[in-house]
Amino acid sequence: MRYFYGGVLALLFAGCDLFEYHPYEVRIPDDETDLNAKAIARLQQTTPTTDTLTLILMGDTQRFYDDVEDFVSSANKQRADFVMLDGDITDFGIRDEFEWIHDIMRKLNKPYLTVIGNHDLSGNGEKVYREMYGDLNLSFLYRGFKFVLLNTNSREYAFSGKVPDLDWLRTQLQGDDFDRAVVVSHVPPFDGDFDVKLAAAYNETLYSSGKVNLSLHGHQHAFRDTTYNEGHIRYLVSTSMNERMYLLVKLWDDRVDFKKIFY
Amino acid sequence: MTRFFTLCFAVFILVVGPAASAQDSTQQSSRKWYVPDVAVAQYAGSIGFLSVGAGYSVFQDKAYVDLLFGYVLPSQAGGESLETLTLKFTAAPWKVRLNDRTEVRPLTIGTFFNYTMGRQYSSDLPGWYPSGYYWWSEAVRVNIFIGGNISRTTPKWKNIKRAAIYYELGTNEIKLVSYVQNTGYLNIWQILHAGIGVRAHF
Repeated sequence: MRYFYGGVLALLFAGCDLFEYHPYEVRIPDDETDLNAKAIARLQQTTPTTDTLTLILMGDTQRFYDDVEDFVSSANKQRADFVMLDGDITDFGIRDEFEWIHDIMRKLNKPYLTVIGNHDLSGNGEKVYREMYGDLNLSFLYRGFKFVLLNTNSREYAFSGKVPDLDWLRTQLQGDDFDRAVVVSHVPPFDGDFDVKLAAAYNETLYSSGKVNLSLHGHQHAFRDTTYNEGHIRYLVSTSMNERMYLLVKLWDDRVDFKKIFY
Repeated sequence: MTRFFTLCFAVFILVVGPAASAQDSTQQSSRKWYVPDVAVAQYAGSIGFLSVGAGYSVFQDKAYVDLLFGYVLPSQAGGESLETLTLKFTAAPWKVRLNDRTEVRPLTIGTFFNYTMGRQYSSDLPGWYPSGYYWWSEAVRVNIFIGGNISRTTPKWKNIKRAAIYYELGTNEIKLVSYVQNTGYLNIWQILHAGIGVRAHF
């Protein structure tokens, strides 16, 4: 009998997902850690079949699971190098939500990368994000482009002046191992949740580098194609998933083209 | 957040005070009304890795009121521990007597409020947010659950009259709202969480 009780207890304590310690717990299986780095590694191994780099820009998946499932079916029919989820993966920053979205997005037939959104920083979300996706600021090279993924959720840091980290951004945009760079973040600089003290400096950092002409965002839940302040940096904002639209963005040389895809 | 804690405590005293003082047991007449008659320990259940607390059996043992302190180890929460306070109300109206020492409550139903301590988990939105920016509280979770328990009198144990093992299966408001809007992808098991525990009646 003692062994029976012991067995039951061991079973309860061991595997069962039902036994949640706290919504904010950060117990992540090994195959769900470092997902951005794993996606980049997978991306860099692929051999491009066209001259044009194509990426899918989407985001604000927060609490739109059914729509994200449909997005995956649609995106799997597109010829694209990778999918960029531009933040607000979750609504409440809890582990379960991050896992639900990854569970859906892992069915994509191409790698997907994420940047962090303001909702992802709620509760213990920053720790879950770090564990699952890695650093909040990240860059990588792919097909002559440098992609810079940046945390621009200034309000979540009480507009401390340190988010976004423009010094880091500036150093990322230097170097001769790439010709063009694309910056991706959640909050665009013309939004009230972007630190107003840094907004103009962000735009200036991009155009003074001479290598950037595209800045990709989410957050506003509505599509936008605009410029901001001086320079000719193009700002594209994707819709939230309940709008059932994503952007197919094509990059070649210093040219940008995009298409809205409704699904 | 202090306000919330004070509120919890006030509700606890208001509900438990009169009910506990009306207990019928003659053995407890020497005990002051506010002294808890139950000790509780719980594993998981979305309030901590391990939680301990005290409680009362009220309405002729047809309902329980518990206050628990929960703890999540740093290694389970991304480097920093989580500490929580839980105020739990359980109704256990149906009783099945298996023999003279053992009884089963096949269905319990309840609700609890879980408060996560720490300045980083705000109860109200800090000043730099426009009002209504986020509608939920980072610190407070509202849960509903069903469960059951089996209890046995323990004549050999000096201070404990009866011991019960219980389980709970429930969800909270933010998982529930996720489910209601996404019944295609989410199934009910994905939003449920479970806990087990023991209650020792003095």
